[in-house]
Amino acid sequence: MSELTETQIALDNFVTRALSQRDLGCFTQSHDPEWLSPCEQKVENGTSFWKPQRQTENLDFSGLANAVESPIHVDIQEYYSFFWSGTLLGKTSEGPLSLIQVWNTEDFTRLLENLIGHLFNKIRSKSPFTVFIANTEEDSELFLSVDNETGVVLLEDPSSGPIREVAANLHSFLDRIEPDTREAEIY
Amino acid sequence: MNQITLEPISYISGEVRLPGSKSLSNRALLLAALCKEETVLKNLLDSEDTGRMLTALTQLGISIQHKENGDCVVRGHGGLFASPNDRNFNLGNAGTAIRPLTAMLAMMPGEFVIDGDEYMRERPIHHLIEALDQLGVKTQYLGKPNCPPLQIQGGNLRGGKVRIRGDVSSQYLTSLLMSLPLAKSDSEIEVIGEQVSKPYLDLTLDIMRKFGVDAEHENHQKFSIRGNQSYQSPGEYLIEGDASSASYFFAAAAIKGGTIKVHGIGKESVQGDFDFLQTIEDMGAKVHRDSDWVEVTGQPLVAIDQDLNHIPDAAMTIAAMALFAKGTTTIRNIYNWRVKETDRMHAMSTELRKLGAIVETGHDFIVIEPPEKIQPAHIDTYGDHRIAMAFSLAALQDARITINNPEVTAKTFPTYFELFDQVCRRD
Repeated sequence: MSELTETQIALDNFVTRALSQRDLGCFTQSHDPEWLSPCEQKVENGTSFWKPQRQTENLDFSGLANAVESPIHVDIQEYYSFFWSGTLLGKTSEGPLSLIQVWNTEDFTRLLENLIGHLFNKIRSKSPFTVFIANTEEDSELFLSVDNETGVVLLEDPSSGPIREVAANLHSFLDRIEPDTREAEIY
Repeated sequence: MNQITLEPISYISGEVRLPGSKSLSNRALLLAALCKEETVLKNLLDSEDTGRMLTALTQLGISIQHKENGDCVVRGHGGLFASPNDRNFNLGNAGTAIRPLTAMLAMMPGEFVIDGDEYMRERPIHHLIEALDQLGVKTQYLGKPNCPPLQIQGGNLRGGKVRIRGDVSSQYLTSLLMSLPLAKSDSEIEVIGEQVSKPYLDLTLDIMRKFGVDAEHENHQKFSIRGNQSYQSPGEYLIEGDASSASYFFAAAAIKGGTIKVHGIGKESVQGDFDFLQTIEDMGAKVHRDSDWVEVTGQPLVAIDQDLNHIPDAAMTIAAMALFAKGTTTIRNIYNWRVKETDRMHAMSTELRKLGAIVETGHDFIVIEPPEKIQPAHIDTYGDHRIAMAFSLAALQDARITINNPEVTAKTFPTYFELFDQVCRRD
């Protein structure tokens, strides 16, 4: 296997930190028989126990790159094509966040569709293209994204665009996220 | 690093209009639409979120008029909406619209599709859906599980018992609280774990009460909601702005001896930070509270010794005001300054010392002896918007104050420095 990049190492380290804080050594969520993922380890009483799994083939960003008419930043490609994983909860000094990840290939297709919608907004507002990577706290609509040209991590408002830069690049941002020990659901 | 330098300010005077809160705007619109009588909403926020809610309510047959003076007049049919012809709702990225509307549509007979834009489609809504599921509502995710779009089979919700986690979005609990009084039977919501959003829930309960509906609770852990209630129009309803945002303007007037009038906040306020006004009155400021505005006129300030546990955020403004008060100010019982992501106790004492103050701190108190003359300084903001705003007040003497990374105010109050500049006079 090829050597890991800085983004992949940072994501891998974050996942290791998050898993070390779990009693079961994995994450849980409701199992959906119509929404399966390679990262699911077992299913018991309707609960899926999952752990981020390395993807074996790189996901294809060429369609998105064609739409953007520019290559997709390597950090973004590495971020989304490293693990099959559910959403990862974390927190920084600025508040809680949830890292968007890819559950299965269908999820990736859906993510690309949403990114195309986002691209249209960027074209309309004549702003540089960004790719969202995380949501902020639940009551907020703000999200975090990576600028496709520069690779900087931005806090963005869906209506008005970037608010400010939060990190110079994705790996330094991932390095400063602490895992959040909340379970996805406990009903 | 971004910086903003505030030149010494010689005089403070003016009026500030606080925009109505986004979440209160949409709560007020929804409740007004459920009343039979007309409701005049004052200070409604003009934003994409309220726009989406207005469109959805119009789709549901509600009459809405915008007056020239900015008032919004809402007239419903009394009780739940009639099923519309178009049952597909697109709420864009308006979280404060999609959550309460989903809970409300679950009450109405019919099949509805609720969708958002590409951003909302990445945002899970499953905590609310699972709560509705416990109440017998059938829903189906039409795209990615846990996220919009979703199809909801409404009309089967009769009330009952539901458990919801205390650390999930308070908007979910708010959504349930606002819809369950319209169910046929009584309901009970049990919160699992610590309830982390008590002030927000108090705002919800207050607006429901003002619209004639009561919900009881035991320490925010268990909510009892009588079924078969109906919302009654209060006639007029002021959508308040954020009281803690107003504190910096009030403080500026109090320090500098000018007068500042803030619109969009009034004497009926239930926001905790409204108590800040009492403290600045104790320090010597003159305060006039009216129904939809508050005016503060400064007088020479005197130091106080108070427990400000109930207004931890506004207490930071008081700490900055201590630089201008005669005597030594002691703020007590503020251990919650330490439990924030930034250790605010350490940050405040470090920055106050840069300005020349003599500061002593303990586990849960801070003692501030003002300097003879405030020293020019570069203030670090520690990623904390309130530190940036509180220390802008230090420019109200003769020193030049530079605020490092002022963009930390972007999330909660992006126009703060602009508005602050509008009330400052420099001779």
